[in-house]
Amino acid sequence: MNNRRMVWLVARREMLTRMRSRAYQVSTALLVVMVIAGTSAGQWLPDFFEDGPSRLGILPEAAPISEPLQALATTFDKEVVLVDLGEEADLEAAMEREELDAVLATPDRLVFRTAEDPVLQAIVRQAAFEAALPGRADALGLTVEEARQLIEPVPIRTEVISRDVEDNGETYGIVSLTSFILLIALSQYGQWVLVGVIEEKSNRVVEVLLAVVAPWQLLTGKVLGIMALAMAQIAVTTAAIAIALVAIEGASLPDSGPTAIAVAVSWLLLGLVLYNFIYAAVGATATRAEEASSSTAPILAPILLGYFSALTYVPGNPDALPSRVLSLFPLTSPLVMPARVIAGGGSPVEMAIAIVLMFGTIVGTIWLAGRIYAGSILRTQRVNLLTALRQVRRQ
Amino acid sequence: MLTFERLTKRYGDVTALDGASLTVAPARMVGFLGPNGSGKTTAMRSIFGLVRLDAGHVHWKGKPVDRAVAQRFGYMPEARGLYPRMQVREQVEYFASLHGVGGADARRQADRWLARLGIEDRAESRLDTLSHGNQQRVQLAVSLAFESDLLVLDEPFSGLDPIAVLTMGSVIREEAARGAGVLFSSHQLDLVEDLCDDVVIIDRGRVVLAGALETLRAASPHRYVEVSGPAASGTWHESLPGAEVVDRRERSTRVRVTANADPAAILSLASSAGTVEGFRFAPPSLSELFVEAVGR
Repeated sequence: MNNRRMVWLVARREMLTRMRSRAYQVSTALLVVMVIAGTSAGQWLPDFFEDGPSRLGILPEAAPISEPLQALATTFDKEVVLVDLGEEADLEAAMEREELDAVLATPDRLVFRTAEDPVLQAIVRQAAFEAALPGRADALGLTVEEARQLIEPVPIRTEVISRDVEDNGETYGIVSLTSFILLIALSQYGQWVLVGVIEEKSNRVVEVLLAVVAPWQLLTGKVLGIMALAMAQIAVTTAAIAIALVAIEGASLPDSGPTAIAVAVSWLLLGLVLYNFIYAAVGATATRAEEASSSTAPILAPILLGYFSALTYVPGNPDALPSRVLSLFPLTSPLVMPARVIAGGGSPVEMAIAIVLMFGTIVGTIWLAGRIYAGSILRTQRVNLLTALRQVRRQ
Repeated sequence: MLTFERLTKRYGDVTALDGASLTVAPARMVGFLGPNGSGKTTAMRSIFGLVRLDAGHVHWKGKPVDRAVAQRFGYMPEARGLYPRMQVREQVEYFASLHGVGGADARRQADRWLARLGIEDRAESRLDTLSHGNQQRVQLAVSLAFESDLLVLDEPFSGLDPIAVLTMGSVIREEAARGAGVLFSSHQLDLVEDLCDDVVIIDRGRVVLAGALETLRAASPHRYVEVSGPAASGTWHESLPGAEVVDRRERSTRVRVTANADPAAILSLASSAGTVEGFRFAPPSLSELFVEAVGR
């Protein structure tokens, strides 16, 4: 039987049995619920944390500027509720009673209750100015239109030569989102492979399997099967985020979105293949799941290094030496390369070198994991990675 | 035909195989016997490349066994193992497909073997809900669910009740009758005696006795005489040259004599000591051959 069919049979079993497992169904459903809840929370949380509209009391003397004041508030994107206080003498009591932030006593007297609000101040100043304009113009012998032309602000064109990425919320947001998805995917799906490999060893089906399937075929099938499920889960989750965003917030994808998604998905695939085989190799050295947890700590180190670099250093310095090195080093490149590209760094040549290095490392890891796995069936005790590697040489 | 040629394997200071050679011919059932730790499992694993030999070869029809050839071999390892949470039928189907049986055919084979082994009503159950004996039947079905050229069964009957042993024994015999070579190890010697055509006895990694069971028994330098009744307690055997009592009970005695002894003469000698209710003169049983060969 050819290699491809063998790998396919193993991968298919992996997919079918996992897909039917309650754990997979529940975790997928939970992910979807969580992202929809998270996205809708994004809708109402800002309102929750932001202050409500400013409540401004108006005394009769200030009433003439109420109308321009309301119009200006809209221009300043500030919600102001005007409360007519009538002939109120005790300002303090009125503020308490009506839960006011400030009272406009006369057009040129603004009384704040606890602190000054500069935006409200500016709105009031502008409204008072608007109200005073006809009188002032008249005093100078000008029409209101002439007076307006006189005070028309000079328009200023703005340009940005080198925008600081960290200040560019959109790009930074995409980098942190993709890095987070990569981080979770690499560690989460790696665990699936790890547990799957240990299970096959601990329930001893491994000997029946290895009598007919080559170790590399078995591991490749397992990793590909799990990756297909992982990608399905990621696709469902991403679709849920997109639908929730559009449905709830009416948002549209930013311009850099499609590029970011393409780069992140490509590196996610490469990263998943590499790390899943690394997890498989570590799984082959353990006989019980509890033993494996301590062995996986070293795997997390490069993942976290890549994650934090992608989050903090790389977006601001996409072409600095450390960013270059980390984006070429296969253990960190899946996390760092997308961050570099999204932040505007990285050349096609560097991308090609990183991919070649990645493929080489993947092939080496498949070979090594297969050897450790094949050698592990006769062992009933845990071995550390170094012993396992020495045994690989002797086999 | 499967051939082991001087297989050698050492684990540190321990010698698992020390130049072991044997053959398994098509349509023959070969009982593979030996004390614990004598090298049976290592030898069986080497057929599938699960053990890297220090020296020697495993050949099938004169050529080294590669993965394509091994795919035509059924294997039931000593360390039993299947997927505990997988359905029984799917499990058998899966392994049949790994052995090259196509989709619908794999399903037919799975149903056929589950029915033959009497567990068709559990086809939809998860493996871990089955009793130990039924799990063992599934394990056998996994090694049978394609028309294999060779069956390698490491202790297939251990832990089974007599009914299950009978069913599985007859299924394996049918496979040999179909033309498959069968190599199986067991410590249940009377069972091996009933089922096997040939035996191979291995001790400390070396084959110490091999051949057709009847030929080996006939070739033994010993015969065993069993006398029951009042004559059993007599001392008639003392006058037989080279005779040795191997078992004496209240109403029966078992004596080992040389192969050229005359059964009629022994019977009349025993009769002179008292009434003989039962008399048997036979070549050694497999257990006796085993003890003679292993010598301990």
